[in-house]
Amino acid sequence: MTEGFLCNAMAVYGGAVYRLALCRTQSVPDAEDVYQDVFLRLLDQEAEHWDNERLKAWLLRTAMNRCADLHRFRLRRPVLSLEAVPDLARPVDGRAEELWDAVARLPEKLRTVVHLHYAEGYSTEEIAALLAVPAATVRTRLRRGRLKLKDLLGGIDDE
Amino acid sequence: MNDYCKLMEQIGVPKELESRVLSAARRQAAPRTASKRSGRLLRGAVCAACALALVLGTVHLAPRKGAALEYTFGLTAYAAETGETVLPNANGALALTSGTGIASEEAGHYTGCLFQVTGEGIETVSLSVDRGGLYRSETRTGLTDEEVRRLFQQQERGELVCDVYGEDEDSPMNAEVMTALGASVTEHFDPEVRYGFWVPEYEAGPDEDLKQAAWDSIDTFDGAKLTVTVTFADGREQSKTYTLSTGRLRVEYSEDGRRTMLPQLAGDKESFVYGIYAASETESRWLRWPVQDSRTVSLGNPYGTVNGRTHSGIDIPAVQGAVILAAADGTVTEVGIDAERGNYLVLDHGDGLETVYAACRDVTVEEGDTVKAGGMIAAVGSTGMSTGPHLHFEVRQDGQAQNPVAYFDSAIRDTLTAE
Repeated sequence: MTEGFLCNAMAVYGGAVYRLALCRTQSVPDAEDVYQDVFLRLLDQEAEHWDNERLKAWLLRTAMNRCADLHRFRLRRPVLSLEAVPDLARPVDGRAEELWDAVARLPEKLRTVVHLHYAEGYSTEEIAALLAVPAATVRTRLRRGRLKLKDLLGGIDDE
Repeated sequence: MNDYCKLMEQIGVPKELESRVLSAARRQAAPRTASKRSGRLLRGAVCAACALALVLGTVHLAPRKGAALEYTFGLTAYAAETGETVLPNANGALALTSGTGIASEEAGHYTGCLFQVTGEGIETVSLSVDRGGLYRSETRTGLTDEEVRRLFQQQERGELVCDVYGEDEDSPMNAEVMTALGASVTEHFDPEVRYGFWVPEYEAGPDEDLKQAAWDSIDTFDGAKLTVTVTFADGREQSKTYTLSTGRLRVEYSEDGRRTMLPQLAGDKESFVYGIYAASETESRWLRWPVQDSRTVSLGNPYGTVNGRTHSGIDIPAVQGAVILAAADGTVTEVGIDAERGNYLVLDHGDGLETVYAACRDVTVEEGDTVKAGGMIAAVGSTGMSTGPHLHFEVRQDGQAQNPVAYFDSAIRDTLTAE
């Protein structure tokens, strides 16, 4: 991969990678490490045919694997406060904070699915392909994630 | 849950992260290429923004028919990273990417948007730009230590900016020497010399995003005019004026990771390179936008080859029955219907330029009719291989499909949205 390719990949998909890493690791330094690692790995990839969707899927999958690697060394899973996230484009209100917190408290499997579906707009079938699990499993996790969120948010979540 | 999506949109990648990855990437790459480059950090920072290689699609420079001139000249875009030159597209326009730019408050911004003058029998070249400035960029090879020292001294005195590099410690050094020229210059023709766009006043605050600062700086040239005049060995003179516009130029990646530059705007989610688009005022043939009340280009089915499938035009979604207008004066050479294109017609505009309008609900002109630019010729429909009302619009030069977007001037391109 050329440096130019890397620049563009970061410009276009950097945000998605970073947000997924942040959602999974719940730690800004960890998310930054994952980000750096993912794009450096991209640089080592053979320069073959990369269309945009495939590139994005590869980046997200690699990011998830890296997050999982990191987690093996963590005993307790931290929950990151939204206030600790640098460079928020706009200040957020209490409701957003509650939502962020609720998502952060979801079990990892549910959280990943919820994040990919709602933040990145992936369909259940696409998530299934990304995670290499059956689509029905993804739908179950999504449903359970939603129910749990509703619980955590005290029923005010209106989808 | 839409709130979650909105919330996530607020979270951006920390500013330093991209440049951190880039410098890490360079450190990683360094032992492999064993190249030694000075001024790499500054350059890297500016580059983080920009683009490296520029490879224009398969374009050919068709000699204009009936050209009475014996000698003629042209411009080519220069891709600094690969050292390749790239011919203009069929409509005479060049896409100049900001390749290896260098910027500092003392020396200004050397944007890295480079071009070369080509042609036979050229004696002198005069260049002038009505905004910002120009610089000359030359590669000097096999430099001795003494010569390198002299270059650095000249750089100290502010006479030039240079980027010195070599294969390894012991081999002779090479240098890319950039000299600011001001707003205009006349000099002896050297086919190897590249000229670039230079911004004399460059300022980036310590907190400013370097990428944004570089783009803002390149925007100096949006709407500017570049005039190139050459004198030939036989004493004649020829002059061409190029209108410049700046923006996100779309790129595609081919199988070997090479980048292909398409002279068109990038959609929000597409890969792009920031740069300068230069269109020749005399050689370009401008078209009118062919659909009333729609300025949208479909992203789902762009011009070019995607996943092995070639789309020889652009799709313009519009409401059923929207008026389709002739893009230029011409004659109707073909009206027909087939399974793929639905109702379609072909207009001939002379000099090998044709436009095709397909997927129409109905066609309101007949073969042999003469049409005026902007006259109604058909109505938008969804006939043929179509999933919704749209106009399939093609531009052909000498029978070859061309990227239609290159045929609209910047006033139209600026109003286009991609969906």
